[in-house]
Amino acid sequence: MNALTELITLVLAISLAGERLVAFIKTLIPWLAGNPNVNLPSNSKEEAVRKVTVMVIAFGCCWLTAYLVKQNAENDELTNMPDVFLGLLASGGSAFWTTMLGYTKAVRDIRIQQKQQEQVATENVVANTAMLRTENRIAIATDRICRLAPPEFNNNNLVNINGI
Amino acid sequence: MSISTITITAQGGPLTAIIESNSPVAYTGAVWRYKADKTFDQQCGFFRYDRQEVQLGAAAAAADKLFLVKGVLINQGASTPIPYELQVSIFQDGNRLYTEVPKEGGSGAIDNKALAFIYRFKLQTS
Repeated sequence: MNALTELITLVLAISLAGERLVAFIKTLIPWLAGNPNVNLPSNSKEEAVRKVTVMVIAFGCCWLTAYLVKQNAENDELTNMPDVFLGLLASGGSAFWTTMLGYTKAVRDIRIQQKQQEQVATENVVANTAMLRTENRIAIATDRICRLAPPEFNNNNLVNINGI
Repeated sequence: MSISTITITAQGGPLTAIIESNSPVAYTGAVWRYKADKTFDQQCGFFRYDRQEVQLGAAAAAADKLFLVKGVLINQGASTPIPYELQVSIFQDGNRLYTEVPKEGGSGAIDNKALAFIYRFKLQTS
């Protein structure tokens, strides 16, 4: 779960950085941002071309960011993944990966709680077993004392504790 | 063999003994009563860590009698010895007359191995 959380965090970071890059390119090329004063039908060819272009640019930006991250990161399992794959994941959008990160955190919290509950249950079993053994030993000792004939007052013998 | 002498009030109420420990150990035992010539009189009762009180009898019946306490201590699951101290207290009409730690096995350290203790006392009227 930690590895998954680390992967999602990395992809989220690449996604955020990629989105900033996309926003920068949209500022340079206003056509990509669309004209708010012109309401084109969503199924128009021009709008479809714009959307696809933005998606391709977003993928390219994320790929580039992933490549740059890999160039500057220490070698580990995450950065050994292909940068095109990281870029593809990151192009899913930061909102999606933020949700995924929250989900993995919730799963991790649930697992921690389950482990804590299991630990408490184990401790209770150990305590109950110790209590049961104590009661058994006390019962044996009490039985042995019950069976004692009234001892001589001066008899200095202690209760026999062998086997208790 | 030491015998502790405890002074009671002849006109007072019934007497009880309470055996308690200052550490979380389990224990059990019995109290026997003897006449002044050390012949057996009667068994007063049993005690254990969760039922610590034993009735010794009315003041008139218990006066000038001898008492013998024998028991066993258990510290379940202890990996290292822990210190313990047993106290035997005598009460009359709810008032504590006397408290003593038995000299034989009444204090020390206990691990998982059971320990035995013994205590003797005499009640006499003032």
